[in-house]
Amino acid sequence: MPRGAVSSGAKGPGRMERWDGVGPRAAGARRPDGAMERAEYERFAPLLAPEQVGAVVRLAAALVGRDDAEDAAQEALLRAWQAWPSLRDRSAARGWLLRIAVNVCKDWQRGRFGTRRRRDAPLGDDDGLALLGGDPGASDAAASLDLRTAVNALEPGLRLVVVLRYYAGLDATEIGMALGMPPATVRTRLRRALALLRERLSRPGRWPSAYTSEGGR
Amino acid sequence: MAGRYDEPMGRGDQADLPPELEALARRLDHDGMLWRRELPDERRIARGVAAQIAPADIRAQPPQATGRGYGDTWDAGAGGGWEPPRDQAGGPRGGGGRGRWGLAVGAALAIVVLMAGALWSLGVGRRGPDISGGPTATVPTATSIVQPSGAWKTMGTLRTSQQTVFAPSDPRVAYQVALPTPGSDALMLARTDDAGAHYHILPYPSGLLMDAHLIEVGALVSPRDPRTVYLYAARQGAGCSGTCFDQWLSTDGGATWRALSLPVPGVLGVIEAGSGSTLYALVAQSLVGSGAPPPANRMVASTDGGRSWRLADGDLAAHGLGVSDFAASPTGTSVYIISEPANIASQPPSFVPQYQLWRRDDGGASWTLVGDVPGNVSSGLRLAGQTLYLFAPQRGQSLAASLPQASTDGGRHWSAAPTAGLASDAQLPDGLGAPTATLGDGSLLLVLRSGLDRDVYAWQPGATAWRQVAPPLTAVHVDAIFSTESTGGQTTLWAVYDGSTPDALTVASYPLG
Repeated sequence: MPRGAVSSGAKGPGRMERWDGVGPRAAGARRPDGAMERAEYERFAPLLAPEQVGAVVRLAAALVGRDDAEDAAQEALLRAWQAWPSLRDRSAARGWLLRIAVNVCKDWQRGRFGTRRRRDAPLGDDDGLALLGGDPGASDAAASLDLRTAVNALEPGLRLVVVLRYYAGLDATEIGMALGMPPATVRTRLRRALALLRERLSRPGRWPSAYTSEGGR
Repeated sequence: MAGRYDEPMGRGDQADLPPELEALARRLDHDGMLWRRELPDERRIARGVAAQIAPADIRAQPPQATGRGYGDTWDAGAGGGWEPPRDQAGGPRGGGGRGRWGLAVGAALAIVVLMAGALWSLGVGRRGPDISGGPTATVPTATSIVQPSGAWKTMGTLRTSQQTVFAPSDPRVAYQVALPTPGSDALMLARTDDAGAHYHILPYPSGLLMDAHLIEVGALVSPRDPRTVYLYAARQGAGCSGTCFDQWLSTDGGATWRALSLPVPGVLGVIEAGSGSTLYALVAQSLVGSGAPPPANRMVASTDGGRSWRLADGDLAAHGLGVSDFAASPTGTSVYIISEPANIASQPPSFVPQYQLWRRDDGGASWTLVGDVPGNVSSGLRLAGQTLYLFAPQRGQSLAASLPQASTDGGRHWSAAPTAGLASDAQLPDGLGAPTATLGDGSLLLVLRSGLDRDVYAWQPGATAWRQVAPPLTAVHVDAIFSTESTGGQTTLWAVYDGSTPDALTVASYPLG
């Protein structure tokens, strides 16, 4: 994607229309009508608060690209609702929701959703993580693109934590919950990744040239 | 009354990073914020999900269940979720204007609202408070939000491909410093007195060695004098065990430098003005030594304008405690510290330290333990006159759950700030933290996000609502907020914020009436 072109399809007016009744999500959705299930829904409802949904959206955007983030996030929330009765420790619901979102995004990357297979967000390397891209701003975009190119060139395990930390905006604890690793491991990876980035950014051209911004190859 | 920087990333995570990586982390944070601007609206997504899974009786609730407090009622949209009323052009209807579309929370939030209906029913302002999910949400009172008149005046824009440090007493003055670029042996060091219109290239201290062992440089400006500036350099290797710090002081705006000596190894971190001529500062020692856990931070004080420093936390250190945060005020008679175990860095990740609040009154020879810090947080203290504030939002918390607390009895009792007076869609900028400062009348200033706007609010104990004290700023991120007071008593707000251009900071001012 050339600089300046923004992947803004997610904001198109057609997005919401796809949500009213078609596809595997709607078919599998439980709709509670009894008093007991209504109470369950009210217990689930805090997971639909903006802070929770926002974290899922950011995580999804980081993993599958911004174009598919809305669909993936909604899929994750619906899966969470379906699995809600099986969650025993509801004090850990946020981490549980983030793990579901990670799994949904992995499935998304593997193309398990038929026509909802990712279309325009380019696949990354073998980890399937979408590459960072998009329009970083107006007149001084080059520095941002250099930064994103350097991030894209990190090895998958390091890139994942950098993207989740700085682009998805999750903290180390949340990343640990989402990826099933101790926060200390996340922090160690972050430090390692930052040290590599710092070195590479001070020596331009050391990362593989095949990695460019989203859509650019 | 100086504001100070609040890191956009989690303080805990930031604290884990060595200084040489912090600049890169901030750059990534900034770029991440730009990247997130294009993300889908989480409220719209929540509404779509709720439309599919909400029980029929909830979906069939009459619109007024969600409408009170906004001045409008909502209509049931075609998709089954709640839609805000729209005008003929398809835009959100109503005179609220800014942030109104952000009120379209839909069925998902409606459920939360239903559960907290009693709270909502009292909010009748143009924009009521956001109580989404916060267990400590306070009852909003009936109030209307009055938009301050006038406009922010842009003072200038600074390029920030290097570290930029503003003078709290006059934010038009800023220092910029950066490591030598590859192929050059010149340290970039400059000062602007007019918010970026002109720059003065400054000499760097003669003792600063420009070689490959230099890994980081940074600056800090006195809160009292824009021409008193500190420069530090961190080096690794070449005889250093771990990381070595050198620090210099200039009292003439960077024209001349002399080495600064501190009573303990490390570099000056945050500086705050105390009563009289006293300055207090934190000495960060996070990278001193090699391999061994870093020592705890210490607090130092100066009574000669920052030229010399002495330890000011003596008996705490003797009890095995370090300083996690502190607060001082030019108009206050006390100094407060949040202590942490001095050996915290050597503890396993599962270790939960106990953070405690200590107070020292002028003339007192020792610190008095006030008690445990509410919420056991490690930072977020502010002091305005005699009023102590604590604001330490945790990631994932709603705004209502993380509003500042205030104490007027030296930290013994705390009361949470109300939500009244805040915009209905007010939230913490970027999910965590918010720039704060204090006013001469003892109020706390807080910058919150409301749609694309950044609103500046003020509150102090006894007031039932926040008041918006300046027109909204349109910014990606507000880095800092300052307040200054002229000799004639005129108070001016200053904001340093990121606009739409990366690597550029805008400085703007607004006179308080």
